[in-house]
Amino acid sequence: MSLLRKTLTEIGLVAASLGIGLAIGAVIAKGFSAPPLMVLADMLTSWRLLPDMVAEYAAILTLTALAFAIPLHAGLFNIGAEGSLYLGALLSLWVAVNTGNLVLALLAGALAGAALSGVAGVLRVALGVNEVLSTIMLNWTVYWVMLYYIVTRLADPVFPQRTVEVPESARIPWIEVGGIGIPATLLISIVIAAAVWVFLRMTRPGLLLRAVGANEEAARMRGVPVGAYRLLSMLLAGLLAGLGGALHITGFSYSIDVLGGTVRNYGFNGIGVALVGRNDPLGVAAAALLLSTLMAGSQAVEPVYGVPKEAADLMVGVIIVVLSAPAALRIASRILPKLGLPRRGG
Amino acid sequence: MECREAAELRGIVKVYPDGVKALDGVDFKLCEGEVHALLGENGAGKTTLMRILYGEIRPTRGEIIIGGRRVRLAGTIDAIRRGVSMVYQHPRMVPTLTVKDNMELYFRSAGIPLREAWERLRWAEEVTGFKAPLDERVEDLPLGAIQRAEILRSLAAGARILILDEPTTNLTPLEVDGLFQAIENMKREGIAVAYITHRLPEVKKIADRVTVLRKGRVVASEVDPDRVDVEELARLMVGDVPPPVERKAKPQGSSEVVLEVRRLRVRGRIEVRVDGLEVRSGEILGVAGVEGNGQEELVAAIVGLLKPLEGEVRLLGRVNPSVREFLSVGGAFIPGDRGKALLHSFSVAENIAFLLYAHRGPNLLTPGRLSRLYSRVAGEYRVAAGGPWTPASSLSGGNQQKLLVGSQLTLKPRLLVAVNPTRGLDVATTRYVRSLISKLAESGAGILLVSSDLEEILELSDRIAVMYKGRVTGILDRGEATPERLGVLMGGAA
Repeated sequence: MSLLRKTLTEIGLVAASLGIGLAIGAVIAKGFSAPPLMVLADMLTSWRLLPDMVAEYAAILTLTALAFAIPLHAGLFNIGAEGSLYLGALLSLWVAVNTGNLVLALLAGALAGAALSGVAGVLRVALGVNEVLSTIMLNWTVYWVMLYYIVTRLADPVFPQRTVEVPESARIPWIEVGGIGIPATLLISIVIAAAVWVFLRMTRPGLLLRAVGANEEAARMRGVPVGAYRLLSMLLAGLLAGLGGALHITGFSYSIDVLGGTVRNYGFNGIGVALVGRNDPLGVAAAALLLSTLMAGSQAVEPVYGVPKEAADLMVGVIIVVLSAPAALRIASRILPKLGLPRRGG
Repeated sequence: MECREAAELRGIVKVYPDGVKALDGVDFKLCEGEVHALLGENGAGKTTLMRILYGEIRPTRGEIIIGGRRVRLAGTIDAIRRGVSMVYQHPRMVPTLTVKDNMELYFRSAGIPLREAWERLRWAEEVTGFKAPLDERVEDLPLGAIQRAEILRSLAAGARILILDEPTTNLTPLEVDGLFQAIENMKREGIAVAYITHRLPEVKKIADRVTVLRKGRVVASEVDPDRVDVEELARLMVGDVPPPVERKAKPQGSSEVVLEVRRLRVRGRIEVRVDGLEVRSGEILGVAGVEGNGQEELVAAIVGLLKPLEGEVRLLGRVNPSVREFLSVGGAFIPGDRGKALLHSFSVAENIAFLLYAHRGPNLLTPGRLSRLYSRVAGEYRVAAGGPWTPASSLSGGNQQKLLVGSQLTLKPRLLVAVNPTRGLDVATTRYVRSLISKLAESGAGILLVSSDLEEILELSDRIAVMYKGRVTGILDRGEATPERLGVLMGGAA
C-alpha cells in the first residue's frame, strides 16, 4: 500500500469515525430535547463564541499529546505528561514571579518537566521498571508537592483561592495574524508539532528512535543504543509537557487555583488526542484543534440549549472513543503482552 | 501400481482475506502405502494445501475426500480423528512438558482412547525404529528427536495419512537416513505419506509419485521420479533456473587476515569455545553444523552482540568490537532471521536507510535522499518493491532478503558475516544471492558464511569449519569436504 493510499485511508477512517461520533452525539442531544443539528453545529464552531478557550486547549493538548506520542514511537507508554505539566507550571510560575522574565520561566518549566520524565526514563532503561507504573506514581507525587507549594510559598495573600499571578512582563502576548488575534502560545505549539514531525520523519536520530519502538532486536543488531533512545524519548516528552505547563501559566491562567484544577487533566486528555491523531505529530496538532473545539463547544451549548455540560462532555467522550478505537487497539496489542497479561491465541 | 485411495483433494481454491490467491484449483490424490511428494518453491502453496487436508485451514472452494467419503473438516482434531496427521517443519509440542505428557495431551484432546494409543505407540516404535524419549522434557531435546517423537505421536494416534512438511530441514545426514528408513517401513504398513519439500534429491530418493506446484497451480502431476532427472524437476518447479555459482580458485599467496577468533569463550544458549578460526580477505569460510550447536553464539560474539567471557575476536585490528564498531570498521551482517532484522511497518526506503546508516550516516534523511537511496539499492539488487514508500511487510520473503543483502553489500564491507542467507528463498533467488556473496569475495572481502544448508556450504566455501556442541570439530579444505565427511563431523562422530 502506498503512502498516499495509507494517508487517505487514515483520513477516511477519521472522517467516518467522526461521522459516527457526531451521529451518537446527535442522539444524545435529542434526548435532552435540544435541536441536534444546531447543537452539533454550535459545538463544531465554538471558536466563534469562545476563541480563547479553544486556543488554550489546543495549544496545551498538542504538547501533552506529543509527550505521549514520542515515547510511544520508541516503544514506551508514557502516562507522565500530567505530572510533567504540573511541575512545569509550578516551576514556571515560581521563576516568573521571582524574575519577571518570560524566557527563563518557559525554560524552567520545560526543564523541570524533562527532569521528572527523565526519572521514569532512567528507571526504565537502567532498572527495567515499567514506565506505566513509574509515571503514574510520579504524577501523584508531583500533584501533592504542587498542592503544598500552591497553598504555602506561592499562595496569594489577597486571593486565598489561588496563587500569586505571573507578572505582566512574563506573560505571552496575543498577536495579530492577518487581522485575527491569536495567542502566540498556539503558534508555538504548532511550530513545535511541525518540528517534531521533521525530527521523527526526516532525521537519522528520529528514524532510529522509531526503529527502537518498531523492532528492538533489529535496532540492537545495527548497534543502535536502545536505552539511550528510550531515555531521549522520555526527556523530549517531559520537555514538551513541562513547556505545556509553562505556556499554560504564562499564556492563559497566570495562576493556579488551590485545588490545582487549573492545570489538571491536560496530560490525560493528551493521550486521547494522540490516539485520535494516530501518533503523527501533524495529526496530533489537527486532533488537538478538533477536540479543543468540541470541548469548548460542550461549555458553549449549555446556556443556549439547556443541554447540561455533562451531556455535552458525554458527546465529546463518545466521539473521542470512536475516533481513537483503532489506534487504541493497535497499542493494546503491543502493551498487553509486555505487562504479562493474557492475550487471545498464540 | 494399484492405487487404494487414502485421500483426495479436488479443485481446491484458497483465497486469503487480503485477496492473495494461495491455491487456484488444485487436485491432489494420495494412495495407501505410497510416498507422494509435493514439490514446489516457497510460496507455491504446498503447505497451504496440506494444512487444508489437515483441517487447519478451510478452503475457499473445493472438496476434501478422506477414505472415500466427502468430508468437511471442522479443525485439526476432526482430521486427527479421521486418521490424518501432520508433522510441521517447526516443533509443535509444549516445550516445558515431557514427551509423554505431550502425547497424552494430544490423544486426550482428539478423544483417542489412551490405552489403545499407548499400545499403538509400541507398534509405531517397532515400525519406525524410533524410540520415544517419554520422560524427557521437550525443551531439552534436539529438533530431530522432537520430530521423531511427533511422528510416533501421529502414528500412535492412529494416523493412516501422515503429512511431513520439509522434514529434513533440521536433521543431520545420518538422521535423514534414519527418517527415510522409517518412511519405507511405514509404507509397508500401508500408511500414506504426503511429503512436502523443495529439495530435489530427496524427491528422487524417497518419492513414489510427485506433484509439482507453482504459484498455487499444479504444473505436473503423476510424475514418476525415476523417469525424470533432477534438472527436469527443477525446471518444472521454477521455470528457468540460472546455473549454480562456480567459485573461482581462491587467490594464492598470503592475503590479509580480516577476522581472527582466539581462545574465545562465550555463553548464550550454550557455552561455546572456539580457538584459531580466521577469515582472510577474498576467502569464504563456511561454518557448517546442525542448528543450535553454537553457531548463533559464535556469530553474536563476532558482530558484537554478545560479550566474550574470555579470549578475543579480532576484526581488522579491533579487539572484541561492539556492534557499532563492527559495522564502522567495515563489517556487515546478514542475520539468519530477516523477521528480526527489518522494520516491517516502515517503508522500504526507511529500511534501507536504517540498515545502511544506523551505525553512522547523514543526519538529515529527506524524502529525496531516501528515494535516491531506494533507487540505488533496489535497482542494483533487483528488489521488486512497489516503490520507496511501500511498507517492508508487503514484500515477499525473497525481496525482503534481497533488501537485507543488498543494503549490506552497499556498505562495501571488508568482512561479511552471513547466516543462512538463502533460507526459505526460491531457487532463482537463492542462486542470485549466492552469486552476490561469491562476487563480494572475489572483490577482496572476507566472508564468514554460517549455514545449516550443506549444499550451500559446499557450493560457496573455500574452507569449511564444522561446529558440534559449541566446539569446532574440524576444518576442511574445499577439496577434501564431502557431504559424508561433513555429516560425520556434524553428528559429533569425529
